[in-house]
Amino acid sequence: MEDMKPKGDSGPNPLEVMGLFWIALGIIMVVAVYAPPTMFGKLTNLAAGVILLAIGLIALLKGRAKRISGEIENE
Amino acid sequence: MISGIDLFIVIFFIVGVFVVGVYFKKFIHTSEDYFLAGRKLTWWVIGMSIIGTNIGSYDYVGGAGAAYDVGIAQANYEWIGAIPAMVISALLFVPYYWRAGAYTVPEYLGKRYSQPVRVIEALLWGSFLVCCLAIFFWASGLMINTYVGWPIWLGILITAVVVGIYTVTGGLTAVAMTDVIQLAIMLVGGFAVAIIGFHEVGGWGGLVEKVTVEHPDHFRLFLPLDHDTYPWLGMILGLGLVLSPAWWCCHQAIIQRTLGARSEWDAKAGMLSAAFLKMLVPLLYVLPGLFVLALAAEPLSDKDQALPWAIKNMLPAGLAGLVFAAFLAAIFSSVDSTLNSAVTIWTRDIYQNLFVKKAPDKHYLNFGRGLTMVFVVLGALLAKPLTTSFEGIYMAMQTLLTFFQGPTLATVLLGIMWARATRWGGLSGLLGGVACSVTLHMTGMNFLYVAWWSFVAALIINAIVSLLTKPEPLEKLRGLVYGLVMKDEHVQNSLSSRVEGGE
Repeated sequence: MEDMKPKGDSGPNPLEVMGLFWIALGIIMVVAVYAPPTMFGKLTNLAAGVILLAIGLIALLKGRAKRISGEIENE
Repeated sequence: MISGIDLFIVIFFIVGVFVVGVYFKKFIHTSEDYFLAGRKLTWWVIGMSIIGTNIGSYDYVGGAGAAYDVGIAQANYEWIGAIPAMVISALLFVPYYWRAGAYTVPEYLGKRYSQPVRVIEALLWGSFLVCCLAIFFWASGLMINTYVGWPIWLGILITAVVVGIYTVTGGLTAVAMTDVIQLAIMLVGGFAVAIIGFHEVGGWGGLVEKVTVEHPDHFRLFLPLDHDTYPWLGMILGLGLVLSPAWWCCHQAIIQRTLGARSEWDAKAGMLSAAFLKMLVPLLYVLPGLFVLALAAEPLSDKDQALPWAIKNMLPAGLAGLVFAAFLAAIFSSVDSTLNSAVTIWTRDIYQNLFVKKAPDKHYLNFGRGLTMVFVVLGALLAKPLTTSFEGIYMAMQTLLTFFQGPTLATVLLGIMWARATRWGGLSGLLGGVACSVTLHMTGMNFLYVAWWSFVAALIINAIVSLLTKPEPLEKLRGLVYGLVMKDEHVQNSLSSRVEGGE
């Protein structure tokens, strides 16, 4: 999808945007660890948050790498 | 019903999806961008978007309820009822749709057979998709009302505004990319529910032990021939051989993503990767249904309460919000895909094909956007009247789908596989198949068998009429029929040179 980006557009590409969304949701899930009363509940929230953070980070870094390589090619 | 942190997660999800969806507006310049994402979708986006589109709120609520009621036989809807057909779709159907350069399945049929076949198919699918839209809106209102407590009309309004705006502005690109985001949330939520469930029941062994005490058939994948809903023969003939291939090979909302692929390889790989993901889908609702059966002290009065029970009694605060966001994701992804597909069919196969044939491209882009807004308003307004006027509207829609899915599959299958199939064969097979399914339905036959026999009837009528009428000229069929590609000297030479070149 990164090649969909309009030429001359220096903003974030689709992967970076999706990555940011997942990271934000992951952070909220990690913060939500305080909510459940049981340890198992806290651990489940933490696991879900970490998985979302990991997916988001991978998408963000891959998108950033594509954007930088695209900018170098354009130059 | 849900706590403060859960509500915060749900509101964040709604706002976030809206913002991400609207971001894709800058990619839309032509009607091809709007309807087919500029034919730039990559395989993994296609695969995830297909699954996101396929999973609806009914799969969650109804599927969990059915699993509670009949056990893992419900998973057949995802396994035998999807995966073989998806592989066939990827290898046999998708390449021909993609090569034909069509925007819709009816458009392919128009090229292969004739205008009347295209228009009839477009009217059937176009009307069906608009009705589906109204049902999805109602389901979203009900879901938000059940879990958050907001009025149904407010839930419908939120869905209409959020999904409507990003679909109008971003077209298929926004639809496909938000589907990717939403599927990731659904899968993370599904895995979390599975982990908690297995922890509660004592692992797989504990689940089987607790459930089979009173329900020995709940771990049988095939149920007896006299079973009311899921007889094994009906599952194989009706679901496995007709309904499932018809859905995965001919449903516009499913196929449209592959038509927006950047290459034929991406189109096929997208469908195959969706088949892989499909294996995981029972995790989202079949397992929760079984967990409830194992954990609930008293039997539930309504089987569709299985999933709400699981959320209320099994999930901790935070995760409950994420799973509810996954529900909303399921419904948003179904609404946006149905909306986009309905607009594509009505614009390309009806408006552009029959009324305004040679307008500038911008005209069709603007018409598509305008029609999207009209369908959003229409779907929201029809949501209540359409759903409450009929008893069991979902079953009514399933029945309606049964009327034309078998004949559609037979028409497409013969169109791709048999060069001798003619325009008259296609038309009479389609109409004869629909007439057969309506007649059989009136006799009270199980819908799985209706699908099977209407498919067989359409196949036979198409074949007989084709043999009695003049063959189609070969030039017309080039690139649209399987046999011709194998015999096409130009294509074969091109393939040979690619093989020799090490591609």
